[in-house]
Amino acid sequence: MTVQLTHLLGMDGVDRETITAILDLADHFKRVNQRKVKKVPALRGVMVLNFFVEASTRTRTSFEIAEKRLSADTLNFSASTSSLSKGETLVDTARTLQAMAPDIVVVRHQGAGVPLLLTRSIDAAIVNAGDGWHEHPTQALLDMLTMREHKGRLAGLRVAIVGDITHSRVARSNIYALVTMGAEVSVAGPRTMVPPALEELGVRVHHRIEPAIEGADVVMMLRIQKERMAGGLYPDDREYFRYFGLTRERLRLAASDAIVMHPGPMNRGVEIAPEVADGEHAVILEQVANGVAVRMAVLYLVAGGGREAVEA
Amino acid sequence: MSAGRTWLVGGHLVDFERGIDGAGAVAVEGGRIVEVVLGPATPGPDDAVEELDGAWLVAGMTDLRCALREPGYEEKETVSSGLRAAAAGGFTQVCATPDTQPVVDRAAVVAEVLALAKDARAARLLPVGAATLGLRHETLAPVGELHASGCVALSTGEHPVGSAGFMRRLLEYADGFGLTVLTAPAEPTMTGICDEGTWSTRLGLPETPAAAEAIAVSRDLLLAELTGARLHLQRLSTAAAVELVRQAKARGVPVTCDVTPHHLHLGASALATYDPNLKVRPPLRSEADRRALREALADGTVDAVASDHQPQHLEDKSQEFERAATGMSSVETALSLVLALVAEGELTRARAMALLSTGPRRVLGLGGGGLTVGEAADLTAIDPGHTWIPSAGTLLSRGHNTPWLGQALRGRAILTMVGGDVVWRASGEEQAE
Repeated sequence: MTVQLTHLLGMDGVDRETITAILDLADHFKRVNQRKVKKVPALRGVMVLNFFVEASTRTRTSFEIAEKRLSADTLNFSASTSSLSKGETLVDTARTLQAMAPDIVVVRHQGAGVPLLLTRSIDAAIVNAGDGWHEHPTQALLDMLTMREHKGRLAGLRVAIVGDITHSRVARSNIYALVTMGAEVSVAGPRTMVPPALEELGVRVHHRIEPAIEGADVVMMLRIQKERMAGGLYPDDREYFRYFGLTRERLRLAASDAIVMHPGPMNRGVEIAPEVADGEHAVILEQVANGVAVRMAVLYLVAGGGREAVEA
Repeated sequence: MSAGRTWLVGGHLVDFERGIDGAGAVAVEGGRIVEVVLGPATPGPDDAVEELDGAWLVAGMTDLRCALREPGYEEKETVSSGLRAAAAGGFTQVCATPDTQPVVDRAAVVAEVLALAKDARAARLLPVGAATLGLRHETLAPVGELHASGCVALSTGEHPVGSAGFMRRLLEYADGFGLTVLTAPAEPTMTGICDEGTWSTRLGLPETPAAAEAIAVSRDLLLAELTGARLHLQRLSTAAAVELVRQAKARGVPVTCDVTPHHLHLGASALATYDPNLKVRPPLRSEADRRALREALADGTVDAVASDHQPQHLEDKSQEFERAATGMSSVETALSLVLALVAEGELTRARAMALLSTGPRRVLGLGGGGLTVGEAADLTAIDPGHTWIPSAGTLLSRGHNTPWLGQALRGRAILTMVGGDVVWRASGEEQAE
């Protein structure tokens, strides 16, 4: 099978074949990552520019490791060191990035749609590392890689996504991709944090956690941000935990071999009980490890290496 | 100014109010209309003649909402560039919004703006005063002073008045001076930049529901009913809002309203491109809303189409959608977009022309106008088949922030006359293809 990936802007519109190819390739890189020497020369001479305008430690680190293992030349262009804080326009910044002639730009930005806008002024492959509330495609891919490893499939898998959906790019990307792969997705969150047209995306919507996680093979908890309290979206952490927190008791509603996921960073005792976060169902650290493999696969594909690797 | 008569011949005269819709000619002298002929005309040997080749001739096209940006934001637009752009768009007069720097909240600023307009040799400028000092909506502007200095209406600017009690007093006080209050309704605690629904869900953009507009419209309609004061609601974007206006008009509330060309042509689905030129206030709405606006245009609920021209500097739009400036440069494309509705069979020619001429003049309570002897020779000749492409080369506005940039539009003003002077003439070469 051959796949072509020009950019990775989101999971919306990415077909089943492409997702499968990325995950298969990630499996391959995961095996590489278990070797003593983890570095491969696949992206030697390829320049990857990490353009991170919004603060991010884990995603940026994960991309950097992926780039280094592929032997790419990497360069970091972050908000604190750039002139963005001085009011430069996005278009000017894009031109500056273009002048550095990168082959791949990995972008994290607080503005939804920025990766798409960058494709118009930068002649490089754009990889979205999170744009506002919109999408975070590599997170969805690493989540699916983790699910597939544990469950052996994605089609027909029962996945519950719980928390603040409205403001979650992780939720959007997972919903698009999981629905494409034929998973049955249930979503639960306070009505104030579930967007009105969510069912149009092919998911079941609940406003209590219990029906969403009942019989679930995967329970994905989202981070709740305290500033949502000020907007009147939920009363306080205590009530949130009481009605939407994942406790040991609630987890019994899910399948007996259910896995528990969280994109991090976690608020222990708010969306997830500490004993669940550290319990035998949790695969949260595996998600982190899979992040590197998935990002290697995506970088490899957008660099144009699709054919041989997937056939290998 | 020409010495003798000028005849505009071979046109198709349209005046909705007078029931004129047929071939004819108009003679102009001394800045006024001196003869209106239905059927063939016979100009005298010394008269100048403009052959209209079947173009429609309409009197007094008026834009109810046009930001000229001067004083204060000359990098976006000047009074001169804005009025020339308006003339190219076919408008013979525009209501200049008061959200300049300084705000048009005293006679001195009105005088400055009128002086700038005097030299423009383009569309006329109708000053609109700020309803409140600095548009801060804390204290009333000197409404009497603004009226005396030439303001034709008052406006609440980009953001409506939040307090119902204060809005009530504003309506009453303005009505005492015979001035209509223009307001663009939106509940200030429910703001967002994308219509709440499918597209805010998909695109992850901050949302505002259609109800945020309907809530504000309801309040303002009740206040208009309470006070009996004249109220004009601007750039309505939702089915709920026009339905509320329809009901209010039926029970005799003194209210009028307008919509923009872009809300008639574009829906929220267009935002999938995240094009900052599509960021407008209120946001582009659903297909159902768009259909309802078109129906309300045809059935008379909507009184006018106003361009809501908001030229922005390239830099203000060179940002991601969420940080980009709001508004569209639209005074030059408005006529083409209304003509597109005629071509699509959604509006009759007469109704379309009324929405751009007699409709807005009635909103302002301006007497006169129309294709009548003795009226000012403010005339627009429109060729519905003239195709043109908005571009940096063809637009006269300093703001090129339009999603129609580079796209062929059909129908344009080929000649605009203000006070008997030709202030715009479309050249044959610029016609596309």
